[in-house]
Amino acid sequence: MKIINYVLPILLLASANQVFSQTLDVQGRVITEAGTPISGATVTATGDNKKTVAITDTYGNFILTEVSNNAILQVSHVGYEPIRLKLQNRDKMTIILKEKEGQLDEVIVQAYGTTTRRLNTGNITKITRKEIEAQPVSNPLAALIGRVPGVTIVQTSGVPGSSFNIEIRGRTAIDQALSKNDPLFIVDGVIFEPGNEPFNRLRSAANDNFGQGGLSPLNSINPADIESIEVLKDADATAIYGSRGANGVVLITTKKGNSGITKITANLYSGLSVPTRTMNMLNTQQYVAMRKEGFHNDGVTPTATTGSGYAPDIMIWDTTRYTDFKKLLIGNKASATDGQLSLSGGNQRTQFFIGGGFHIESNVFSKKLHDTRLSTHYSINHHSENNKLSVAFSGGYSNDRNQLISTDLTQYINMIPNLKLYNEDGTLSWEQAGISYATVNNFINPLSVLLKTNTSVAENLYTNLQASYRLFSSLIFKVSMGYNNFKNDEVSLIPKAAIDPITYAFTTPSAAFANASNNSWIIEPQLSYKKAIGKGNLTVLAGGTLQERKYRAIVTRASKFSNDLLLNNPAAAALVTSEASRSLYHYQAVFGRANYSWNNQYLLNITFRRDGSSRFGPNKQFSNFGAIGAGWIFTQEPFISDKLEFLSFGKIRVSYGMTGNDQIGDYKFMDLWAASNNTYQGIPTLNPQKLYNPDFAWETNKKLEGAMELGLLKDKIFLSVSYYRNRSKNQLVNYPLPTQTGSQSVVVNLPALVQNTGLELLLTTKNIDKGNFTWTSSFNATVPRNKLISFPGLSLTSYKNSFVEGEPLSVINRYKYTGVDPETGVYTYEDLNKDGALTTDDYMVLGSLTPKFYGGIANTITARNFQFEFLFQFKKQLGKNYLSQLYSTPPGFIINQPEIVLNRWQNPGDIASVQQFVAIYSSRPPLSAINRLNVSNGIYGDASFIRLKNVSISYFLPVNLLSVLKMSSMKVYVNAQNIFTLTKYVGLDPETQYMYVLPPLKTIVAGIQITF
Amino acid sequence: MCQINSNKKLLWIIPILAMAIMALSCKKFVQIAPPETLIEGRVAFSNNDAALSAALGVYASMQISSLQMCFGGMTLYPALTGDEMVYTSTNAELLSFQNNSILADNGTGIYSRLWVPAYRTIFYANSVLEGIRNSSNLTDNVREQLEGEMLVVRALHYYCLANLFGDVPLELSTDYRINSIMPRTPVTEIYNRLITDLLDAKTLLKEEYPSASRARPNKWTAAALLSRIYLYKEDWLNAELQSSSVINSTAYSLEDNLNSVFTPASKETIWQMANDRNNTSEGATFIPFSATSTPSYVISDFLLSAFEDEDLRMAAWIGTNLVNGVTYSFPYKYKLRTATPVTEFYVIFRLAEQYLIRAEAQARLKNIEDARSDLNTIRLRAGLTELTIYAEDSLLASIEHERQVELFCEWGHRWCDLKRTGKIDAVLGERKKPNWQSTDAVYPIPKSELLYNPVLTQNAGY
Repeated sequence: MKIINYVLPILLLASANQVFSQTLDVQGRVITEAGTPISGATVTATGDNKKTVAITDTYGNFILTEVSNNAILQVSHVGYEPIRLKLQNRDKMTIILKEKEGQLDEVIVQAYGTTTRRLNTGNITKITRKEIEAQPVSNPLAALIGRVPGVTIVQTSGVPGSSFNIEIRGRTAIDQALSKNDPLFIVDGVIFEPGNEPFNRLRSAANDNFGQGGLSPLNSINPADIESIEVLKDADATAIYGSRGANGVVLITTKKGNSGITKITANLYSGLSVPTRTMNMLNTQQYVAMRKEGFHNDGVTPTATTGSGYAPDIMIWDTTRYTDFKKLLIGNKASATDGQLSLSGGNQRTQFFIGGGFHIESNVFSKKLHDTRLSTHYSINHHSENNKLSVAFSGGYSNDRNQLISTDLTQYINMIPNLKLYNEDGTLSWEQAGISYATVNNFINPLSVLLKTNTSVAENLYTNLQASYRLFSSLIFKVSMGYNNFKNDEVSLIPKAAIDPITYAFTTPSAAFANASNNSWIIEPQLSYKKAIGKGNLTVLAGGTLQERKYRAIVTRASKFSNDLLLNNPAAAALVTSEASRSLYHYQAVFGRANYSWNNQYLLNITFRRDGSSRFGPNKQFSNFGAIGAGWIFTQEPFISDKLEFLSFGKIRVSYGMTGNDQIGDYKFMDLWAASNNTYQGIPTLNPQKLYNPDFAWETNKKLEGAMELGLLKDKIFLSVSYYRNRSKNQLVNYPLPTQTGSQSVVVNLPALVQNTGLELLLTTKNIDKGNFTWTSSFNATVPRNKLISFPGLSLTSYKNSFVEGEPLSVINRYKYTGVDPETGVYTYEDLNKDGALTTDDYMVLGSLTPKFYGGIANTITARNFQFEFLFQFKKQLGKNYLSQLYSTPPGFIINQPEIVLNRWQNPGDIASVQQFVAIYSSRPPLSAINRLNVSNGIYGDASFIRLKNVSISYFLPVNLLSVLKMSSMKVYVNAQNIFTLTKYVGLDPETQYMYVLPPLKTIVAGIQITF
Repeated sequence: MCQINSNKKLLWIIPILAMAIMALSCKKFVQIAPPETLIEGRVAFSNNDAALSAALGVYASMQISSLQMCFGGMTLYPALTGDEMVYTSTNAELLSFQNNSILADNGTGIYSRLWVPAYRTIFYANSVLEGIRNSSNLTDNVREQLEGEMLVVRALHYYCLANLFGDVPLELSTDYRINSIMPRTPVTEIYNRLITDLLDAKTLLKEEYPSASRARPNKWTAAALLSRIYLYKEDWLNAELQSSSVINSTAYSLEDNLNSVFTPASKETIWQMANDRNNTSEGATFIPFSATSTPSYVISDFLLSAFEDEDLRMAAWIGTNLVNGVTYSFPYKYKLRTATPVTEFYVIFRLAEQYLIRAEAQARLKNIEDARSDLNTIRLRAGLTELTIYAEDSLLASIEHERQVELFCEWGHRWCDLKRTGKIDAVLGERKKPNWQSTDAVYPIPKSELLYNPVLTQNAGY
């Protein structure tokens, strides 16, 4: 609980020289009550009929030259109570400003500086440490879910460390495999180059069975080290990032020290996790019945001998055996423990923060596998005595050791329920009654997957330095430098016991090793100029960027080990192949921003950036970007404020601008040849690496936004409504080619225009504020629209069935599913052109996967020493349901199915949702019908949900007890994540929408936080 | 602290200079060199050694995965769709080959093993052809040798594609803008082009092999494929001419011992693919893992009953396993199931086929005695008696039969023979009842390809 200190501004006397001259030079610093420097504050000295004005720099420093020794100083800054004081001969001073109440003037981090909600002309949403701390999550992105309008974040898997897909203001990328919708991530002003791109080189349980998903680099950032996360969305906020701002920007600001007493804070929590939603699978009895019914429908008698009716699973293998594979494989409870310790403090000139922590999660496959992150973070701020030089130095290191297995075990929950798992001697079984599993539908013993380990160690080192020097009272030169080293080291082992000894008798133990490092540095010199002109403030920023990213990776695969003893050493393997890859990225820019705010009433903000990127070929490397934003705080107009007294704040803002995108990987324009893995007669061999196109160029993204922000009843109700329209053109895609070209794709600019529009609403209210009882709410909602406006020549391209002009990119353009025919028991589809055959000409538009709307409702209730917070997340959308998995394994085949397939057609006249069972491959209609299901809208269903995303209950120890315990604060709490989900979705989780991927976990933890 | 502030004019200069340098340095900064782990295309043909590596990469690409087109695929799939082999397990895709009910979206066989690797290797070969033609740094003998080799490799792949899929796009350059909208080229046109290319190759290549183990094509390799193409075109005169040039070259002779035919040192081999890492994909696929296990692919009764009782090839080239009282036969031309140590190479062309080509061509040209003599050469080696037929028809029937038992489960010869002689419907219509339809004589073009190339058409029946 924040205790607001109603102390009057305090004047601290640093030194008071006895100067007898009439004028003096004053050096000073303006800080908050917490000791944080206030930049951009206006300091006016009036005396001897002379007025001198200075504006503080990033570190709160100002200099006034030749002012009267008894001048009156006026210090003001948006969001703070202004103060007046007499100079009284002092030439050095620190001035403390008290924050105004209300969120309007809360500091918001923006590109290359800070702003406030009041004066901002762009769209920035801020999430504070308070909201992050309430959630027992290990990835900062998880903490944003449901809290930011216009942003969708979906966890790809419930496996610890797995990645999240994030989209800010909808999907723009036509080719999501090449051009990600990932925003730019910036930590303390320095680009976090690994971004949101999964870093693992070897496949693990964090990947689904198409290899998608993976381990997230953002998992290496400890949420406990984060002070705030700002999400930048519109052109005004993002255009200064030029080519990298097209998909929005996420600014992560880490914790800093405050001046004052040295504080020690310790936090510890521990708890459990289980999968959110699962589906029950058939038991053996039901399974056998399903198989027999399938054979019956096929008119074939199941037999124990090879032939068309061959069914070893029910005719030979024990059908009394039963294993609930769902329970066995993913039904374990995972644990989570997290501990953090920090030390912070400082004096007026130097502040520090040192923090360290650990986070340990096990996974639901096995309690023995842990994801352990150790992390440390530090921050030092210093300014010189003369207040001209300021330095901020911060950084951190984390080491995340994630023990996984090679494959997500959820992929095996459909294993046939009578599979024999163990031999009599306790070893894993690979055959039953002399029939090897591999010869039956390529089965394996799923427990062998637990032996195939995958361990990833990710290390993240980041450090940055921001130094500024005041050249004149209004001109500051600043250099921001950052370095990031992200390394990962993975080892995957396949020991002898994990190999099918019958069918793969000659397969030897093997191992794979991957080492990758991602080194990046950035230098950004900047000049900033700030001057009061007329009734307003002009701020001008000019700067440049030089950035380099070096990526190196080596993947070594070792096989033909004679035994398991030295699996970790490739030297013990008879066959070792190794592949090295390197890439270099250079990026250069000049940028500028001019901002003028007149009387806190009219706001204008212009940004510009010229970018050069090494990802483009000669003559295509440079491009210009920019934006203009304007705001009008109409409640400053007397004719409005007088008439509409209930309106405490009102602002209209608009912005328009252009950003770009070069996130397509390096060297795509070059004709490159790579060493192939094989020699030929002992001579190394080369292959063309890919098809190349030397002529592709920048894609551009034009963003328009209009918004109204209203504060009602003394800002007790705050409402912000934004409309946006983003148009992306000239997109870079891996254009799919027929493989007759020798390749499956080539990078080209596609002349298509994609538009995202939407309405975002953010409403925060202070419902009750009565001493011991407060209740605040926050509601956000987004209504997005996505549209492929034009795509010249679409029908002649390979995209002709994937996209439809005028429809969203995620359009469902397929056969219309018309249910199970009650007479034949087969899935049916509409023959649109009535030509008697189902062809792609019968495809029609049947909705899209773009959510209709989504958002969240958060409430915080404080009563005496208790605090209760909860967040509901909601989304209305269509999604792929469990039927999307059926086409490859029709019910009745040798594979288990969810119980839901029991609602199948059996006899003429049955109305069913699942067609008749089939047991064998044949040319019967049900098989072609089930193949078509996957290209129909039958695999989509309502995937809307309301999820209680987060609940946090805290108890704060009363002050009298604290003093006895010699603590400054202590709280005990219970935090929970993904508590329940209300949905009609048929499948596992309505967000991951995939039956064979571990759904997100439900986590509940209890903890304690103590500050000394 | 900082005393510099007394000289404010100087201070101005530092940041301005810094930013000016940054603005000016930009052009160079964003022009990067290729990564150290890869090389640029022009560098790959800047000298003989590099160009050789690029050309050998084409051979490496032919053997990336088991059962790809020219690494067992051309043997296995036509054997299943034809009458040579029967699949014994439950994989639906393989069963669909067996039952002649292949779907156009067949992912593993049609797409990943046959179509994609064939066109990938063709693209690589075209890249090398363009690379060496555009390079001025190669010596003439290297340029000629590599060009000839690439033409042979490309022709081999088009031969396979045309015999499995019928008309296919004939890609002769690396330009994806042209290649991606290339329609299907009629098989006759493809054959004409292959003949032109192979005649060129025959001129470019030398009689000597460029490396050990006959692992890269020489002049006679081009001639061997040429004679086959002429045979398929029923150009008997040229077929006879080319096969004779190989047979008469004295570089080759039939191995007396059948067990030596598929060994690396075999004198019968015209071209075999070396492999530094694995034995053949066919050995690994066809030979069962133990003496008591059911082979995944067994030789059909049709093929077994085609052998005469005294035929030594039965014992030498067919293996048997007795499982639960049932005898299963499997192809045993290659003797090694395990990958290492590498002691077998994968034979692409061998002399026996040239004898049979010449026999057939001679018979068609009414040179009955010469034809019979070539046929008997093969029969004698297999421990059979000499035939004394004089009628052209029955001689041709004997040659066809001899091809069936000599070249069984080898590069799809049986399937291709049934097709080119027009007997496929009659034979398989009977043997593959009730699934056989005459449209099954060509495989479906992979479904996704039709999506990505709008002018590509599907074969009838799919």
